[in-house]
Amino acid sequence: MNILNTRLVSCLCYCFSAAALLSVISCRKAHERNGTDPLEDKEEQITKQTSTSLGESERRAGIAETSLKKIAAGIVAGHVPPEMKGVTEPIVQVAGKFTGSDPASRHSEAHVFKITNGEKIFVALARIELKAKLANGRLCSVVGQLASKWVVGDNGSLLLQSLKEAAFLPPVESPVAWFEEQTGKVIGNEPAFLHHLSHGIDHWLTRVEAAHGIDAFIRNGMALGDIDGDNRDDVYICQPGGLPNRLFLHQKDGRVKEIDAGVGILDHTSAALFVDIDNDNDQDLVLATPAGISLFENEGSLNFAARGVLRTNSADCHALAAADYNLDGNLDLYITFALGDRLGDENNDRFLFHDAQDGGANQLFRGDGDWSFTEATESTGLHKGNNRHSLAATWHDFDLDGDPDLYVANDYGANQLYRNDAAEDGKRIFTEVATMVGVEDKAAGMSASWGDFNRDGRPDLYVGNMYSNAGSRITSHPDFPVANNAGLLAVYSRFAKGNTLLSQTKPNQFIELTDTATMGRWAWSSLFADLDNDGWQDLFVANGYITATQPEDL
Amino acid sequence: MPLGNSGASPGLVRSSPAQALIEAVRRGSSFSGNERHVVFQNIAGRKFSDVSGITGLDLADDGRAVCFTDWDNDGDLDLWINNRNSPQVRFFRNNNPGDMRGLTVRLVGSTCPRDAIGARAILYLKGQKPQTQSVTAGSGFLAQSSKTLHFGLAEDAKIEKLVVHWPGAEAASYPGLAAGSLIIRQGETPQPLNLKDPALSNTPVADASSSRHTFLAQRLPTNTILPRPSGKIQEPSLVVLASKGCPNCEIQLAEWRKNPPQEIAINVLYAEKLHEDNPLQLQLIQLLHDHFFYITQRSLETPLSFLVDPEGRLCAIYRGRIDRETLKKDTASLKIDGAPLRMASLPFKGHWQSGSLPEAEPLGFAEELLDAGLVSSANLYIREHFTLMQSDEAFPQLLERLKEMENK
Repeated sequence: MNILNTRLVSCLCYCFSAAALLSVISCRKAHERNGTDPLEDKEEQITKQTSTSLGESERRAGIAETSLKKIAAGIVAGHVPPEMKGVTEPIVQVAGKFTGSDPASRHSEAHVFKITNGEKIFVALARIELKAKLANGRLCSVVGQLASKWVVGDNGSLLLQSLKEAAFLPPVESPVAWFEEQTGKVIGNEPAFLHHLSHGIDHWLTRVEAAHGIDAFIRNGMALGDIDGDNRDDVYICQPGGLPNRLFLHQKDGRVKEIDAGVGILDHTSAALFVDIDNDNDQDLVLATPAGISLFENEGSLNFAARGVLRTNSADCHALAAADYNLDGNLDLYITFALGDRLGDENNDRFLFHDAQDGGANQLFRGDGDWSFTEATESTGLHKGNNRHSLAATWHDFDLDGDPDLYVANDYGANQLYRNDAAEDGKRIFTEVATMVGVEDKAAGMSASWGDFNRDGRPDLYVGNMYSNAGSRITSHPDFPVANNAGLLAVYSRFAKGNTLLSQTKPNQFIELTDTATMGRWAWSSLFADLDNDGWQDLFVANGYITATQPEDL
Repeated sequence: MPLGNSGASPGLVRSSPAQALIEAVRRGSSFSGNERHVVFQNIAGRKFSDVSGITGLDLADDGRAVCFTDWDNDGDLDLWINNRNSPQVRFFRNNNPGDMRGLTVRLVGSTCPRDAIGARAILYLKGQKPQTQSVTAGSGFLAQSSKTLHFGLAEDAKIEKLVVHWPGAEAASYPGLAAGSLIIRQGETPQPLNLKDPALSNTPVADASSSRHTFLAQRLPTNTILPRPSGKIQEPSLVVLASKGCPNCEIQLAEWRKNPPQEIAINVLYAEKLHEDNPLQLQLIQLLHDHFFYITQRSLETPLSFLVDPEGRLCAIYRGRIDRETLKKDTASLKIDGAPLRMASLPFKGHWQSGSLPEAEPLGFAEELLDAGLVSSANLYIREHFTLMQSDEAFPQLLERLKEMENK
């Protein structure tokens, strides 16, 4: 039965995220639509316990959201519905700003994230986002919240009574968009793009048998590195099983050209790194595949030669990160596993949504030079607590003592920060200090990035998590299963609150900044980068889980 | 609990909420879809402001990995992003609307790794807080950005010096630098890179239709499932599901009437007729199709054709009209096996790292028939292919489940 393991392993890692929290909602929606409930057993019980008023609350949220979406679309077109009373002045002002905006450029969104539980009167809080090209040609965007007050009629109908702004941020404007898409110019004429990458994964799901290792969830990464020594970064794109990874060479004219170079690997590839493993001044390639960590040596002349596979604990290889942890001049490799071998264990009772400790055991491979690697997980102390669902790892000298430390972002629970210390015998020992320094960030960790955003010299940390409107609504509802357990409730609410910015305010002491940069939606990549060249590191969050052909989201 | 409908769903998965989600997604549902990317502008290190709407980056893709690099060597960061959906990769050029300068620095180690991974560079500016950047290999989500460091320089920024902490070595100080791109080798003086790229000319993005068929790597026996044309069992055959009023079906069938494909027997089934006379057959066709692909229970496109070899094994699935050349090539390839078959089943060439693909699993398909509640179809299928399944360790379990369901 092993054929499907790869596929299950690769699809499960992320769909677990928030599933326990949100499936209650999703499945009720599905139930309403289809008349069948896809959930059975214990989920059914949760639904039953809470059905009446959480169900009503969700019904109200749905109606309010539909109505607020229309209002938001009105505001970005320059008008507030005249029949409505009780609209506050700042909302009218924003509508005024958008008067005469270019209709084709308008976009608006409204999402209810909180709803009060009154019997006859309630307040729905919605996040709104408005953008358009103004009459003067400038791009403008407004983000804020709307507090809407509703009266419930005897027949259950809802009447909007008043609308008030909350947390409206000042409009932001720019003469042109910060970025311009040039996919067509750079890669659009490449056959590999035309015939393969221009199609989404759903296209390939009906053409490539699942047995090759392809699924709908997709966890295939990408790497940049200069493989031909022209000081221009080339691009390697990872693909699911049955579709080849693609290597594109950066041409002098800015376009790319695909080359085979022996690394069009067909195995499901989650991560790739371009690093100079053998210190011969060119970029070698390291891949995470179900076979293990595959090593390829850059032979010059645009060709790579296979230099073996480091066998791993599990086929569920996920993220790769490289650094020289023992400062011997040879790069070392760290690999994470999202689930590991315990996925198929029917007696697994250690999966706890908020504190899962049934993940795979991540591994550290010490580079000894000449393409030789030795596993050093246990000898360095990294085996302690090594049982989480690890979706990302990144090395950084957070304590500025000259050696790289390791941060691991885990789904369903606490993250880990392994401090790198020199032992007396010159060896390296890692000590897990996440709780001690304040970076454990118990949530659905998916990615991590280090950067000194406030330029105080101390590295700060940004962690990608999950933001969910539905999750915020149901965890704040009194019928939420753990509503009477304040501690656990806080833990669960955190899973829907979004990304986490951790500022190292004093050496080895991080403070979470809760009021900024948290709303990253279902975040995957979350990176510090100075996008506007003003010297301050901005943040980019790439998100979105599964957008399928059916219009309604679960 | 028996193994699940795809032949291998472990108990953990089935009993968890995740399984419900997986199955919904396989049937074609969205989950946290249509979500736009988010950009936060750093306001002088005090707070972040959501500027997504003016960046041009707020696309509603299912984004995954993001990599930054100064692609066109103009001192600002451009980016590559890959997606779950179409297109799987996008490139964005930075318009730098504030017209600010930048400094990019590539570090090359001598005592530390050549890539200088782990090196920390601090840019000291006159009257301003310093900026720090480090060389990293692997950050964000499954991504590796450029190892070239980037520093944005606001209008009033004046560089005093760059200090590089080389891993495991003494820090070095580099005074007298200006905006632009540099390469610094450990122990040497910085050198300019002068890599200004020409502006790109505009070229259109075109799409091309790709192969609409799958030559299967796992050949599943289909006797009792697919009705082959009677009397011509020694030839390869094509079982075609057509529907009325489907233009592609009409064109295809007219073409075959005029010029029948050689050495292949064709059996055409009409969906409407099956729906009335034999709905079970329709259900079996759907299950057979879904057995091979990650997606399930989506509506099938007609004509939908199944190429079956003389032994009754399914070898290829075609959606829409069949190209005569493709059919000829496929019927000529029915004997290939092993690694060449695995490669022939894929749309593109490439290299495998792992060993061979296991054979088709009739037992798994029998499980799927039971999952769908088709007890007598399962019984027939198991009887017919008994010899192919009996050595499987899960076989007694399958029989037990069959008996149990028959007794109900």
